[in-house]
Amino acid sequence: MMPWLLGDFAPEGSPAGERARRMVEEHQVGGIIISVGSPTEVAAKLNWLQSLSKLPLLVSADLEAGAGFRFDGVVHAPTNIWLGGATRFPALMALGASGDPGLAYEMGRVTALEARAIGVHVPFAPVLDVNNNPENPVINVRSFGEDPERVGLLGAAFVRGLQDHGAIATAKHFPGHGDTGVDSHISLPVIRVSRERMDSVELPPFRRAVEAGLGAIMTAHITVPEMTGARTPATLAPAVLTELLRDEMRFGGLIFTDAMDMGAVDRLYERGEAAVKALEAGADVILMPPDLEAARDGIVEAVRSGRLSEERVDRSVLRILRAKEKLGLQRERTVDLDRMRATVGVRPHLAVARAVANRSVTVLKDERELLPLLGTPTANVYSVTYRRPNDLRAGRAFNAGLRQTYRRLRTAYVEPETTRGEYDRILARARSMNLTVVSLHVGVRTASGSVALPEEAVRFVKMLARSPRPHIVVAFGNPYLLSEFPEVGTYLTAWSGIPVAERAAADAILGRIAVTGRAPTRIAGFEIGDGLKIGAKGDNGR
Amino acid sequence: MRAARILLPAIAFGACTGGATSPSTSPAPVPAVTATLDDDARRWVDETLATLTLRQAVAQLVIPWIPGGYASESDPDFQELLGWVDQGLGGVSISIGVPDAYVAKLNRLQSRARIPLLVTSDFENGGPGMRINHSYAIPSLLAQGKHFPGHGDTRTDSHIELPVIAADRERLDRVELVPFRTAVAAGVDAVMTAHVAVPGVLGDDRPATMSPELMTDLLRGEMGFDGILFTDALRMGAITDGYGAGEAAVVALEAGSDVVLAPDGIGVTIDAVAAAVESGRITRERIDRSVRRLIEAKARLGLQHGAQVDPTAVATRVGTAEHRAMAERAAAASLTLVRDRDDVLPLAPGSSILSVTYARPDALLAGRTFDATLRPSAARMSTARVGPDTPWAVYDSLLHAARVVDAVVVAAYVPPRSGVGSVGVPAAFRAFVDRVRGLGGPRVAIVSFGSPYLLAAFPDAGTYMVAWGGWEVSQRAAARAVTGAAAVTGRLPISIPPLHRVGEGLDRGVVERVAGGEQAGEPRPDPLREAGFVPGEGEEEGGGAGTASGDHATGGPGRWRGGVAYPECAEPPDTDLADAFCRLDGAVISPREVDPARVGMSADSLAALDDLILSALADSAASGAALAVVRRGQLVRLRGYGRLDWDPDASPVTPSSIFDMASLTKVVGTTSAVVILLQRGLISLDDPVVDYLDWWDDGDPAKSRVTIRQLLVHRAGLPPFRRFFLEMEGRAAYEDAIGALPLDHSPGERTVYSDIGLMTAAFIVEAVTGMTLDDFLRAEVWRPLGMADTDFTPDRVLWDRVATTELDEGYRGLHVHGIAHDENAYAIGGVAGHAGLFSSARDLAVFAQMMLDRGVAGPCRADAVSGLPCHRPRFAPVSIFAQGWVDRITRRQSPESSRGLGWDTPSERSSAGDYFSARSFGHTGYTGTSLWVDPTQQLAVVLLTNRVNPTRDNSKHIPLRRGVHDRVARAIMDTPPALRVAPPEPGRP
Repeated sequence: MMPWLLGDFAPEGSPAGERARRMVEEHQVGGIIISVGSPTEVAAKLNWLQSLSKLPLLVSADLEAGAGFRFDGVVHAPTNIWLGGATRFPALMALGASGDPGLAYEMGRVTALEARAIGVHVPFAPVLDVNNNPENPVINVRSFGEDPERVGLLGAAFVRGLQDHGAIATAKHFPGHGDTGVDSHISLPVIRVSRERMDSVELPPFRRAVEAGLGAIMTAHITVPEMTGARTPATLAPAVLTELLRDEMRFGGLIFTDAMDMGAVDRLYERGEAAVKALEAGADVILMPPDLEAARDGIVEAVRSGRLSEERVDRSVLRILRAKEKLGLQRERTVDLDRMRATVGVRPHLAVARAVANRSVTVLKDERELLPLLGTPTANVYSVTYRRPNDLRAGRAFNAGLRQTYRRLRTAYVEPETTRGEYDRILARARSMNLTVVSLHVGVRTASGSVALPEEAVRFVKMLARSPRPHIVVAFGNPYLLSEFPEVGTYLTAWSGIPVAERAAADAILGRIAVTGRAPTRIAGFEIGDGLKIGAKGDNGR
Repeated sequence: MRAARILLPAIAFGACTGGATSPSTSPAPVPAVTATLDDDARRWVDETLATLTLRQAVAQLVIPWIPGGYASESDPDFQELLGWVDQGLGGVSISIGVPDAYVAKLNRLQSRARIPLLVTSDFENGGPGMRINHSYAIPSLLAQGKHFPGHGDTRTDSHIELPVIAADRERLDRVELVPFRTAVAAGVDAVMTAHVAVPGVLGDDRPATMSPELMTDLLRGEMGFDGILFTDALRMGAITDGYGAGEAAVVALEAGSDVVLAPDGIGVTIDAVAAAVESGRITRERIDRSVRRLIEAKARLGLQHGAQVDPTAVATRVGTAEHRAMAERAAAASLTLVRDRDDVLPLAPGSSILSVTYARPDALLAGRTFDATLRPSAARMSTARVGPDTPWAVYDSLLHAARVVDAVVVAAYVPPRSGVGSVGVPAAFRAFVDRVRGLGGPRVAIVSFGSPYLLAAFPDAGTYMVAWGGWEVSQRAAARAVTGAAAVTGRLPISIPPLHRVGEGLDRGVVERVAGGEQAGEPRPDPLREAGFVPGEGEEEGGGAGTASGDHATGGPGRWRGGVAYPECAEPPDTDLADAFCRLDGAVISPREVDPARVGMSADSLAALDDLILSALADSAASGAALAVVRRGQLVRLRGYGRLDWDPDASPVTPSSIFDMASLTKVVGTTSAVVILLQRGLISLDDPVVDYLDWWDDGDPAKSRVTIRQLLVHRAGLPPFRRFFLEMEGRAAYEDAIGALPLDHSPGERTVYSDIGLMTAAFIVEAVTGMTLDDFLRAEVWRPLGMADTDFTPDRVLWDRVATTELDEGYRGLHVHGIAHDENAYAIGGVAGHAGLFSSARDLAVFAQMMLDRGVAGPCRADAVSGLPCHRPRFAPVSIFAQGWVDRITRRQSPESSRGLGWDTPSERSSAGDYFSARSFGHTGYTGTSLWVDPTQQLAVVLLTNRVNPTRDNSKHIPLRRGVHDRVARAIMDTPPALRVAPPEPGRP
C-alpha cells in the first residue's frame, strides 16, 4: 500500500500529523507518495516518518518535470510571496522539441539527485505516452511527443539519467494514455485501437525503456477493448499487466497502479475488490487506495478464501523489499538537511532547466518576419497574459524579460471569466501600440477535463490577429491552441508556463537566444519537425 | 486606537517560550532569557567586543531583511548573505516562510557566524500568516515595543511617504507615550522607532527615527530606557527618499538607535557608518556602546552556548496542539460585538444563511474556515465571494438570493494593509449591504476580519462584529459566535470615531442547542442556486431531501401549499425581479416578457392565444399549462395557466412550474449528450452499438450491425417499446432484456419511432463517459446554461412546483407526482434515455434560444428589462454544441422520414401547426409537452401541459398544440409566414 500524503508542515499532534503517523505506525504501509511542499518541510516530514516506521518506507512522488514539479511553487497567502523550492523543468514536450537525448539524460540526472536529497526514491517519471490526440485533456504537453521512435529515444535516456543517479524510474502510463479525449481522473477512457497499432505506436517507448533497465512501471486507468474487454481498466487487467508486460515484454521491475482513487476505477469497483483485482492482474503496489482499511481487508480476505495465493502476495512484497535494499534504505533511510540544501535547486541544476527551456522554444510561424524583434527601447509594447486567476506567477518572468528591453511595456491580465467588454477595451488599447504579445497559460490540469480556451479569449485573439498591428502569440502550455486561430501571424510555443520557460520565450522573441526547437507533434497543420530556425542577434540574423 | 497598535505582543507569547511550559515529550527545553549576566557571560561579551575591527563593529549593528522561504546553498542572494555573515553581520530579520525551511536556513547562517546572529522577525500576531506559523522554534525571545513614539494617529502609510502625527508634547505624554512608559518600567528589552513626523514636538518634518530629541533625550534620558533601540525598516520610502541609504543609517545612529534594521543595501550602510567614524562624525565609543547592548542581548539569550536549534524538534515545538488551542482561545476571547440593534446575533437555530465573503481575489483563504464552520448549523447555507472588482450585476443576483434566506452574513476581509494605504470598500459593495438591509426580510450581520474601522463604510449597519484578523482561528471563532456555539465577550480597545468609544462591546452567551429535528423546519431550495450561483461539490448533502431510489415508490400528489398569491401585474411591471411573477387575466406571467411589437409580433393575436389556452383548460385538456414564446431572442410570452393538479388547493402554474417532459427527454437530454460526445470525437455516428455495449447484440448478427445513427433516426429496426416494467426493475434487468430483444426489421430498413433506441443511446453515453446520464447532462448542459429546474428524479423539495400527472391505478397504485410518468423510465430508476426528464417553460426557453443561436448561449443578466430567456445570470458565454452541429442534427436525414438526428421536423399534420417552416425542428412528449423551433423566423414555442392527468385517454391536447403554434406564427407581423403545407387544390378529393 502506498497512500498519499501532503508535503506540508504538520506538527505532531495536529490532525494531519496524526493521520500520517497512523498510516505508518498502525497500517505499517510499505511506502508513501508525497505531494506538494517546500523541500525542507518535505524532507523533515519524510525523516520523521522514516524514524517511526518499522521497515524503511519506499517514497514516491510525481516528479514528471523535475523535483520542482511537487517541491516548488509554494506561495504564502495572503501576501503571495513565493517560498522557493526545487528545480522545476518545462514539461516533457519541451524535451521533445529540443530533440536532444543528452538533455533528457541530464533532466533525469538532476531529478534523481534532488529527489534522493529530499528523501524520495521513486520519481513517477517519465511519461512515455505517445500523445496523438490533440484534445487529450490529461497528457498533452506531459508527453515527449507524437512520434513513438522519438518518445522511446528520449524516454530511455531519461530513464538512464534517473537510474544512474540512484532513483527508480517509473514509466507511465502503461499501456499508453496518449490517444484519449477523456481525463481518467474523471471517468474511464477507452482506447479503441488494435493490437497491431499498439505494437507500432503505444508500446515501443515502453519496450525501449525496459531494454534500458527500467525499474518500475505505472499502469493506466484506460480500457483497451481489444485486450481487456469493454469495461476493465488496464490497471485491473491480467491480459495487460501479466500477459503483455511481464510475460511478453519480460518486465521484472515494480508495477505501480495509477492512483486507485481516480474516478476511472473508484467509480466502478468496490474498494477492497479493486485492490484484489489489481494484484490479480499483476500489480505490486496499490497506489493511493481511497480507503486503506478496505484495501487491506479485501486482500487479506482474498488470501484467506484462496482467491489470491500467499505466494502471489509474497512475490510482490519481495520485489518491493529488493527495491528498498537496492536503494540502500536498510542502511540509511533519512536525509541530511544541510546536504539537501547543497543539492536541491542549486544553480547548476537550474542551468539544466534553463537549457531545456531555451532549446525548446519553437516558432511555428512568423509570417511577417517579426522575429527577432528589433528591441527599440521606447517602443510601445503591450503584453496580455491569459491565466487562471490563482496562477499567481504566470506572466511575471515573461513580462520582466520583455521589460528589460521595452521600458514602457504595458501589461494586462485576463482570465476565464473575462468579459467581452474587457477584451474590447484591451483591443482598443492594442490598436495604439506598436506590438501586442499575447501569452496563453493553458496548462494541463488534471480533473478539469479541458485544455481549451474560452470562446471570448479565442475571439479576442482572432480579432487581434485580423488587426493590422503586429502581434505575437505565445503558448505557455497547450500548444494545440493554434488550431483555434489559424489567422495568427506569429506563433511560438514554450510548452509550459514556469519561470524558466517564460524567460526563454522572452529571450527568444528578442533574439537573446537562438530559436532551434522543432515541433514534436503535429499542431494545427504543422508536421512533426516543423519549426523556424532563427539565430540570436549577433549570429548573422536569421 | 493607539493601544491596539503599540501593544507589546511578544510579551504575550513569552509564557509559551520558556522551558517551564514545554511539553514533557519535547527535547531539551529552550533556555530562558536571563535578566542579568553571570561572570562567564560578561567575560564573553567583553572579549568578543575587544576583538572587533571597526567594520566588524559596524556590521554588528546592521540587521538586514532576508526572505524566509527555501533557498539552496548556491542561491546568489544566499551566497551574498553568507559573505556578510563572514564580515560580522549582527543579525537578520527574517520574513515570511515555512518552519522547517526557516530553521534550516537560520542554522546554516548561525553555523557561519563567529558571533551568533540576533534573529528578529515580525511576530506581531504569532498566528499563521504573519511570518511563520508560530515563533516558538526560535530560541527564547526578547520583547520589543514599537513604534516609538507612536504610530497610531497617522494618516499616511509610511511605506509610501512620511506620515504626520498632529500632536504636541502634552498630548504625547497623555496618550502616545503612556504604554511605552509602562513597557520601559516593565523592563522591555527593545524598542523600535517610528518613521513619523512629529512637528508639534520637533518643530520640523524630520522622521522621529532621525531625531536625537526623541530617541536620545526623551527615550533614553527622560524615560530611562536602556535596551536596544531598533530603527524601523530603513528601506521604507519615507526614509530612503529623504536621506539616501548610507546617510539614513548614520543619522539614525546619531539620533540614538543601536540597530540599523533592513537597510537599503548592507555594503553602503557599513561603508557610510565606518566613514562617519573615521571622519570623527560619530565616535567609536558611541558605536561600541550600541554593539555592547547587542552582544549583551545575545548573551542573555544564551546564544554563546549554541545558536542552532534542533531541526528534528521543530514539529514538536511549533504549531503544537497546545499552542493552537491557545491561539483559538485568544481569537474567541477577542471577538467584539460592537453593535446589534435588532438582536440578530446569535442567529436562530436552523436559520437559512447566505454568507457573502468580501475579499481581494488573491486572499485565497478568506471565508473558507468561516463558511465551513457555519455550514453544519444552518438549515440551508449558500456562499458567495465578491471583491473589489465585482460588477453590479453580481450583486443584483445576490440580492435575489438574499430575499429567500433568514440571514445574510457579510464577512469582510479588508486589511489595514502595509504598502497600500487607506481602508476602503467599493460603492457597489456598500450599496449591496444597504440594499440587503432594505429588503426588510433577512437579518443582516457584518463581521470584519480586517480593519475594525470598516464600520465607517456602513455607518447605518445594525449588527457589526470585529474579529481582529482573518486567520483560520478568527474565522472559526467568529462563525461559532454567529451561531451561538460560543460566547462573545470582547470590548473595543480602540474607539471607532464618531460611532463607538473604547470599552464598548455587547455580551452574547452560548445558545443551548435544540434537539435535532425540531429546528430544521421546511427545507428550502438553495437560494444561491436559485440566483444562478451554482453550488460546489457536496453542497447538496444533508438537505433533508433524499433522492435515493427508495423515494420513488412514494411518489404521490404533493401537499399543495395554500395561499400562494401572486400580485396583480402593474403596467409597467413594478418589479425588476426575475422570479417575481404576477397575475394577469387568468395567467401567472413573468415580468420579463417584452412588448410583442418590439419583435414584430401582434399583441392582440397573442392575447387571443391566451384565451385559446384558458378555454382548452376549461374544456379539461389538462389541469394546467405553461407557455414560452421567444422571437428574435426576446420572450413575448412566459406564463402559466391553470393549476398543477385538478385539486382546487393546488398551486397555480407559473413559468417555473416543473412538468414531466416524457419524450422531450430524447432531444433535450439524450441527443444533446450524444452530440457532445460526437463533437469530442469520442464516438462516431456510424460506429456499431456493440462497439460500446458488448452485451447489446447477444449474438444476433442483425443487431450487431445497428449503428448509433440508426438509433437516433429510429431506423434500428427496434420495436417502439415493450412493457418491460411489468416484469422487471433496475438497470441490469433492462440491459438483459434489451440485449435479448430481437429486431422487428432489418437495420436501416424502415423508420419506427422507438423508445428502446434512445434508451440504448443513453447507455452508450454512460459507457463512454463513465458518468450517469443525469450527471453528465447536469455538468455539460444544464448547469452551464443555468437550467436550474431541469433534471431527472427531481429533488423532493421541488415537488410542490411539479405538475401532477396520471392517476396510475394499474401499475403503481398512486397519483403520479414528482416521479417519471413513463413506466419504463420509472422502473429503470428514473434516469433513462427516452423519458424521465423534468423541466420548466423558462428553462426550455433558455435551451431553445441556445438552439436558435446554433449551440451557444451568450452572457446574460437575469433582469426584467432585456427580455432575454435567461433567469439565471451567465457571466461568460457558454458553448454547448460546436459549430455546425445544431444544423446537422435538426435537418431531415432522408427523404423518406421527417426525422433528424434525435430531433423531428414538421410532417403533414404536425403538432407545430401549418405555418412553421420546413426548416423547423422540435419534438413532443406523451405527457402533453412540446418544443418547436423555427430558425427561419427566429422563433421558439414551448408548450407544457399535464394532459395525462388524471388519465392518458385524453386527446384534447392535440388541437390545442396545433392551435397554439398556428396562432403564434400568425401573430408575426414583420415577416408573415406562409403555409408550409399547400392547401388542397379545389376540385380534388
